Amino acid sequence: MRRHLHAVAAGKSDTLKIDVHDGELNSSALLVELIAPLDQESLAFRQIASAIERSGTVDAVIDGLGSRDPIVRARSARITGAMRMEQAVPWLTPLLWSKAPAVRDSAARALARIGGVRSAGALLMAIQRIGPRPSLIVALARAAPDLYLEAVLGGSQLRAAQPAVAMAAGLRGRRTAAAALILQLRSGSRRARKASSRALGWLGASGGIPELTLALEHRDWWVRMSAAKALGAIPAYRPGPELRACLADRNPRVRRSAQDAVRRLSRR
Amino acid sequence: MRADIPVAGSRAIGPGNPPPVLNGQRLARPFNRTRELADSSWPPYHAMLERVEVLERAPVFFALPESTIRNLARRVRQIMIAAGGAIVYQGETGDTIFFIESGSCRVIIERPPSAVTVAVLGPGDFFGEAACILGRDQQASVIAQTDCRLVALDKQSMTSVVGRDTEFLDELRRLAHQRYRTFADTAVQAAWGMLLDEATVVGLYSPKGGSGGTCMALNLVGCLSRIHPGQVVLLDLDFPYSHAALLAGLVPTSCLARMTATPPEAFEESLLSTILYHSGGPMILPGALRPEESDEVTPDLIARAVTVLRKTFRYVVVDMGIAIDDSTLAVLDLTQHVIVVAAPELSAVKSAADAIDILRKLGTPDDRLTVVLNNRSAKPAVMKTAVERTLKRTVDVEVAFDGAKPDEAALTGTILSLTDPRSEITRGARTLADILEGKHGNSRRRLQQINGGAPAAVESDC
Repeated sequence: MRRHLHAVAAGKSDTLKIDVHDGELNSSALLVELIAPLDQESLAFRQIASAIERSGTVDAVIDGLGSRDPIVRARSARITGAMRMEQAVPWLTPLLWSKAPAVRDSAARALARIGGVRSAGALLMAIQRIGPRPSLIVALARAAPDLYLEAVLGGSQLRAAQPAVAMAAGLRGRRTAAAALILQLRSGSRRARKASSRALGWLGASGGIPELTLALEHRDWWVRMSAAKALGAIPAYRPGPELRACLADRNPRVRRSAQDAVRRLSRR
Repeated sequence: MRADIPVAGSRAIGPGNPPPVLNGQRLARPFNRTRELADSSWPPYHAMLERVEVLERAPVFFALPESTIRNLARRVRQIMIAAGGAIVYQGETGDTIFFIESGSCRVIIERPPSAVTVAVLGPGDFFGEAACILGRDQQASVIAQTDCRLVALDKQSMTSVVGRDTEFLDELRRLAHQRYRTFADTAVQAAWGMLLDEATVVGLYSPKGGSGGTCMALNLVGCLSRIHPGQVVLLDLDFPYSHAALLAGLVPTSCLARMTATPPEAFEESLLSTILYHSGGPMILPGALRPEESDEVTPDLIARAVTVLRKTFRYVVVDMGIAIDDSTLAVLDLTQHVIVVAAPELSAVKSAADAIDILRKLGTPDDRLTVVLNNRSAKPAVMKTAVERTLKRTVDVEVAFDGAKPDEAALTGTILSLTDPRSEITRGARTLADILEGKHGNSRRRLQQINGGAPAAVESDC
């Protein structure tokens, strides 16, 4: 199978039949292993994609997403992700809240790899439905196109998902998200403030320093702790009296975060 | 599947307040609101029409079949960005092409310690294609200059719809490469600062169509660019059909005619961002992209444009149209040198004689007037001596018949003076360039000596 895959990638063979139901050979793992390092626009990738399409494997894989067997569903999801099969997004979406963890993870990874508005929308829907699971947040960060998360953060709907979106924006590392995160930190819910603080820290956004400094005096210890952690991660921040005051905070976790932040900043 | 994304938005940086990347400091103003208008696989009918219209206005995309544009329109997002909001940041990765539906955006390249505005984009323009298509980091930061309505097309959506259209993707890559080079060059040029003195404006007038005026203008610009790289621009005012960019193998995305509504404070940036950069050195500013746009180019607009170009370049070569109208007269008023191109045909020579008479009456001195005889056929109908007798003056430059080379160069989008040194056109253009350098290059050097021989002062653009 591995030899055949290499032959297809080299253009020596133009058909590629993959049986996702095969109990002995996990051909999806072999395919993913071969495809993973390839660029979507590379010749090898295009040759494998056209071979799969020509041999009817695309339909078999999409059928596999609806299989009763969780192993088949997970394998099919991995193939759709590896091949960036955008047409499979509607079938991948319900797998995100599957009872089988392997299926959920494979679907989330597949959507992250496919990317684009539709994949991001599906992940957002799953976050709303089953809560902010780490795998979903990471997948959302990878799948979301430019200005997608920023737009969701600034909107009035999807309030429940906004902390997760804020985390995804931080993980994504785009500075365009800083403005939306500062807004969340200023007027969001408790969870949203916490998530936005952390995200601003990951971004190292110097524009967030004034708002994070204000958050150090927030009545909620969770917000104070997150703000202290975030300020410790921003290279442009110079410890001021607000952070030093946190060293004597009544909450031990805030005190510890402030100590860590001061230590990190003094090392620079 | 219906992607259930709500009406959403984000906060944007306020007007006049640079984003953190530009000053490294905190944001001083509260943020304005950014809204995503709609995001659905099946947008409402009116939104669909708007999206289709925006995509159809964009260069390269307008060539796509209608069904493909509709498919793309179903997948794009409409986004509102408040004035001052950052859309992309220099150095970050990107996966989306943004089309401007309304408003204008400033393209800024940071070159510490300053930042250089390399373009101001308006409705119909797009950006982000280099990061999306070529996989490069964003070359520049793009900030909304006014409240903007954008249409965002992400890479995955585009690949799904036009992934098999390799011709379209190749064309888009070519445009992305071209704009990448243009912005890089503009940034370097702006960082170097303005030249010490103003450019020489050379008008190239061909009173009879088909005499090879545009070909000569393009090759003259090519020759001058070899002497002064990045300091020579061709202003194509050969209306109503301006094809200089096409002949040079460039894809124009905007033109002088579209600057009529540009406010004075943004005119210079808009104009400079419209200039196309040829890899061989010359730059081209198209006058009009469509025949009907040529009416928009008024004498006042030409004067404003030439004023800006004179400050920025060393030579401004203007390819004038056949008709002696207000625009042509405006150009003649601004020129320091006029080149008349004539073909050795009876009607062309007679027209050239009339044109030279008019130029004399307009006060053009004989030493600032150069006559070029361009032999378009192997056996000319009128001999050079007969031409000189009709013109009542000598022919300064005679371009021998060059076979099929000019036509082949037009087909391949190459400039002969840059690629074929043995070509007759190249020889003619080189002689012309030498004449111009002799008359205007020396006076420039004398001016510099009078000023103390100091090198050009380097000013920062920002």
